[in-house]
Amino acid sequence: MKSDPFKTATATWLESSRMTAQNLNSLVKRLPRWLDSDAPHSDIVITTRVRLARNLADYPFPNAANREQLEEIVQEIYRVLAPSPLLGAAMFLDMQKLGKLERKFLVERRLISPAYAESLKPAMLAVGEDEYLSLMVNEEDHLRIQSIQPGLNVEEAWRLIMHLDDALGEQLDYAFTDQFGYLTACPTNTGTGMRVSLFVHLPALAMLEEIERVIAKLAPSEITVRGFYGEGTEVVGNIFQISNQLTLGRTDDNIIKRMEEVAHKLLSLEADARDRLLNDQLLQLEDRIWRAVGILKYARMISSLEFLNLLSYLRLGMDLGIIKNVNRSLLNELMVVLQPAHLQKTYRDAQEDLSRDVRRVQLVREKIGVLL
Amino acid sequence: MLCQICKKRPAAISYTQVINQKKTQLSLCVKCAEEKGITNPLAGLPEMFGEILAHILGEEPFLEAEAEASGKSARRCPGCNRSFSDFEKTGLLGCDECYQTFEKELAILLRRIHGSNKHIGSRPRPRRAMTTARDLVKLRKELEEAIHKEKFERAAELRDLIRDAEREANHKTPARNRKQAK
Repeated sequence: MKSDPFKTATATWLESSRMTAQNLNSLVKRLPRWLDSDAPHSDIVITTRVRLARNLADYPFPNAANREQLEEIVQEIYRVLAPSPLLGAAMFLDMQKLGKLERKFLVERRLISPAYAESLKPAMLAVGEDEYLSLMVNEEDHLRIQSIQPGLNVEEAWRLIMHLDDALGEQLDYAFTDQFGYLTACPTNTGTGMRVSLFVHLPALAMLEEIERVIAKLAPSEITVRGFYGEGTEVVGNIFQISNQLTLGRTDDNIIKRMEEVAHKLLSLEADARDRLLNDQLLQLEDRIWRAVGILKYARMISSLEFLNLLSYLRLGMDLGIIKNVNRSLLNELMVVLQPAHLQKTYRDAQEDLSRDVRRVQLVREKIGVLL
Repeated sequence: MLCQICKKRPAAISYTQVINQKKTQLSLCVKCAEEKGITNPLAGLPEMFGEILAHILGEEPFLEAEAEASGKSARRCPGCNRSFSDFEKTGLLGCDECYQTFEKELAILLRRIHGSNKHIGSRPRPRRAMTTARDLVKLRKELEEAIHKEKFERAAELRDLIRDAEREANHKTPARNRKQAK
């Protein structure tokens, strides 16, 4: 039989999708570059993320498309993305080839959303070389493009995603009208389709119980604040996600400027709260921090939630010079690699809740034990 | 309080979102939170924008939805065959054509959500490729069909078209972008 010299888009994508398991394993073995700790304001802003929602014209949105259409969308986007230099040495993962654990790993890694992890539709995840850029195909919209940078760096995150979006827009027929801008499945994303999120660490404001007041003060109608509350009033890890809420009737620049303003406001409020803690409540502050150190040093098992809370105080202690010899990039690394699915993918003896909690605390001591 | 997902174990964490000074909470047990991969606040927290949408939709019924409720035949989007009340149920539109079909309703809704219904942000770049990836997929399908039906003359034509389009596609990444990627 004569071989067909014209590989169809289908064939190329199918070929590439065979690499899915291998690609996932190489993700397990490496660390994302957005963990870098010398980024601007990385003492308070952990990461900056920009995401864009895009759809292809003429195809129904993923919630209304049939399997064949969803597969076509994957192929079309793969064909445009695969040769693009903007993702560097990119990886392409066929979501349908991934099990529950692998999907959980990708959520923890911030490459996919929890909703995407549950979806059984034909879908593709593209991951750029350093994990600064990634794309979910067939999430709520045909394309969700994401750009992550360490620290407060909206400009750089925006620069990278804009070039990728421009390049894609030159080859894909985006659903767009002059009146409404980029058309998205949910009207809360219509317009720019742009959501800027800052992940901020606000332990001093939390300790002083001023968070609620600060949130209320932050341009209430345009900013969304999200966090995880643990038992009581404590926010898990004292980490909050601050995002722009509105996407229509604003330019991309408006949104970026607004979020930068908000970030600087938060930076100064948290810095001020840290000063007040140092001046007025040093004993209570040191007590919290050294208790966290004590637990990390002697506990026999620690859950992922408890760990995030302890890590928060370790980080604060380091920022304030109370704990010496611990560096931020190591703490950032622990925050990623000690998550449940990360542990489970990396260590054979970490398959159960209990064994993971034991392994977690062992790893903490292996990595930073001598320094505590 | 019980976990809102499994409704069995006690809730240990609650996921909170503040929009327009309105707080929305989702309380979960550790197990369910870990199952969902949302124990880490650094991972993408679920967007609960649906809540504001539902709130806005609940404020007053839209004409289209009213017409439907009173038994008049519902207008359906020719693109995805969905009606406006389908959208009200899920909070998701079915296709880009819905924006045209339900333009009036959406113009009102978008103004309520965003305080504006006119896009002023960036636009997509003009399409560079003469043949889009989409066209290529179509051409390749046609080629397969032609071969299958043993229409070899047409197949040869299609093959040339595809070859040209592919050559074009491989050369169209602009130099500007290539430079800035490094």
